[in-house]
Amino acid sequence: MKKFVLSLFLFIAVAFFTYIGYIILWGSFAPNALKPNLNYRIGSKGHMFTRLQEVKRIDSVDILFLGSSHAYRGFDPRIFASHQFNTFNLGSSSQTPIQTAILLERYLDHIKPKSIIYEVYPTTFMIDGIESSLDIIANDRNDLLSLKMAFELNHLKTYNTLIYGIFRNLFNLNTSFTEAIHKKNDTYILGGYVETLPKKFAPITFSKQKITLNQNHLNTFEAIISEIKKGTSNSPWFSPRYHPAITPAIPT
Amino acid sequence: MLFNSIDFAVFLPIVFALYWGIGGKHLKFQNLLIVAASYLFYGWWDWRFLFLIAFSTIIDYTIGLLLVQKNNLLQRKTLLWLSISINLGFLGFFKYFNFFQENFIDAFSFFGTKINASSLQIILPVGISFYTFQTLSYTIDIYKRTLEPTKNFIAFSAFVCFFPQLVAGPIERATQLLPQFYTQRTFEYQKATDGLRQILWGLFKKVVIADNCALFVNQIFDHYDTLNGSSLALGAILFSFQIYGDFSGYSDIAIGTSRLFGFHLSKNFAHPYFSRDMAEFWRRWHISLSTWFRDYLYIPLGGSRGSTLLKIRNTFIIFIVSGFWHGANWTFITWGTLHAIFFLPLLLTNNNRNHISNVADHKILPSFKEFISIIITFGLTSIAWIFFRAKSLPQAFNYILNLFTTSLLAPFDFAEVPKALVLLLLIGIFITIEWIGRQNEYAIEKIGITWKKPLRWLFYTVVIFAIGMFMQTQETPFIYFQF
Repeated sequence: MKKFVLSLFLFIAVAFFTYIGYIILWGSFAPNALKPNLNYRIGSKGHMFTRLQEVKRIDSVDILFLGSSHAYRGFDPRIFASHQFNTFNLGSSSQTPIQTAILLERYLDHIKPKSIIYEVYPTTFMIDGIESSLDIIANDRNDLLSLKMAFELNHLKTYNTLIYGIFRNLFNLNTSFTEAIHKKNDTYILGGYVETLPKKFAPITFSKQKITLNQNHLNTFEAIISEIKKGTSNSPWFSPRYHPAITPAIPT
Repeated sequence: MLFNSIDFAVFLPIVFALYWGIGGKHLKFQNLLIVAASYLFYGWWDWRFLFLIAFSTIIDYTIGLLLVQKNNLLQRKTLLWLSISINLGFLGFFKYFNFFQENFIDAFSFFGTKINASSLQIILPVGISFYTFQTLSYTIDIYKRTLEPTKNFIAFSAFVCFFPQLVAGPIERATQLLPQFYTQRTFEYQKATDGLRQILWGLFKKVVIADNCALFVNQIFDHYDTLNGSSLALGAILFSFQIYGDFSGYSDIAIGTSRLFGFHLSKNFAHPYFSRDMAEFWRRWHISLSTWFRDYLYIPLGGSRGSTLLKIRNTFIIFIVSGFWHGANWTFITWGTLHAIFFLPLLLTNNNRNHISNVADHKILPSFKEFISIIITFGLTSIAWIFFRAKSLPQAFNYILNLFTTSLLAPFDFAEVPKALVLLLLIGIFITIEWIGRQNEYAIEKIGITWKKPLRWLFYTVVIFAIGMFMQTQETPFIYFQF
């Protein structure tokens, strides 16, 4: 029995380190089609890489935008600038409260916003948050907060991508990476905004559906609101409006 | 609790540590722990149905003891039928009530009589078909005087609810499994490591092969009326691998887990897709159920002895009952009937025992004839699986009609074809490993066993990595749970 337990622990240790090795090798050399559970998307859709490079250079703004692609494609800093408001958009694709919390922890003290506009809609609380976590892992430098996010999401794809992301960070493999400002229909505008060329609008029909909100997201959302309130309580801009569906879960 | 869940990954080491911590000398406590752990394992899904298992256990334990005390044939028969009625009564109610009610109403409507009846919302207790058959074999064997009843209630309870095989088999015979609860289990390093190896392979089959196939199978079967023949053919083939990976993967995990606790369970699959005819397929697919039906239904009915008509009747009965065992739907009955039709020519021409040994025994590759036989058998099996997977008979028939069109040779026309090609590559690797290990209890049993430890461990870590890189991340229940 003793031999078995020792052997098992040794094997687990060996498997742990070889797994990391395989992830690094596979991540570096295998084609994307063979990496379904490793999705390292540096410079992918949404200009997250450029946005996070820019946010590091900003030391204070009037308004900070948070939320999903609705935020980074919706709030144009040029319009706010024309009204003498200095803004930054920290939205990311499919951002859930878990990623919002990470971004705030990393950059809030640094940006020092006077006001925050946090865009949410039911889907924000329904999706798993994997897509957004991969976006942050690939486009930002990973630290303990990334690990915390991975544990919170507890998803294999996030773990695998984080292992590979840490490897790339450790060996500074992303230092030479530059993201194009223009990509297909998207153009990055300073301030975190992504301008999209208008396309012909195809109307979408929505069917009635039952919404199940993720309690973990709601809890994180509540924590974020509470933290923001502490920091921006005097802001005339901060007067949150909640959708009736989520109101009961939000402290007023 | 699912084998492929975090819950089980926590549960198993705790039970393992407690079990061997108690030690083999305290057999009673070890068995008690197995009962408690098994009830927890089952109750994780729905604790209310624990009462069914407990009731079934008490009834069969009592009837077993009474059977041995009675010499009067009528009394013995009454006791046997009491056990059969109670066990099959529960199974019938939970699994077949709505099916019979709906068909009864349909039949009357056909003759112009309208009956108003509302269906009951019956939840099917997970694994009821499996543990019902297991306990039935106990009383039937005592009745046939091939088994002595046990007086050890805890051992009997553990036999009924043994968690590795409680919800999806292998369906164990009392003669095989029950004595293992009486005898002292000693920890054996080789057995335990072998168990872990089998669990690893079972997990690979389930989360990499079966669950990835399920994605495409669901997509193709849900939109079969808009897809071309080649896509439908691929859907049928992928379902063949899905159900094999799912069910044999479960069996591997169950057998492997049992080995960790010092138990030996029966082999349930023997590389069935390398079968050269349908008879061989049925000797290799879901062996514990096939042999159950053979011993408790087919042989009592007369088996293959007697007239040709009797052989035909018995063959149809066993396959149709087998289909019906899987589910209360005409699709399963048709699936069973099809297999009877495939099997019958072999039986009637005395060719049903042509292929007893492994294909290409001690050779690297099969002969051309063997290869063609394997392909034909696999093709027939896959066609039958369409009925098994379809939601209704019209869907199954339309699926087959749409499949056999000129578009069978056209390129696939479903979404995400490149991902399907990656899956086919994985299946190719899987088939190769299964082929290499076809002589063994499970495919990777002997692979690397003679290699030096670092190399052997490297192989296992590659399997672990393949699971980590290719597994479907959404937890998917095992298909056979619904049976």
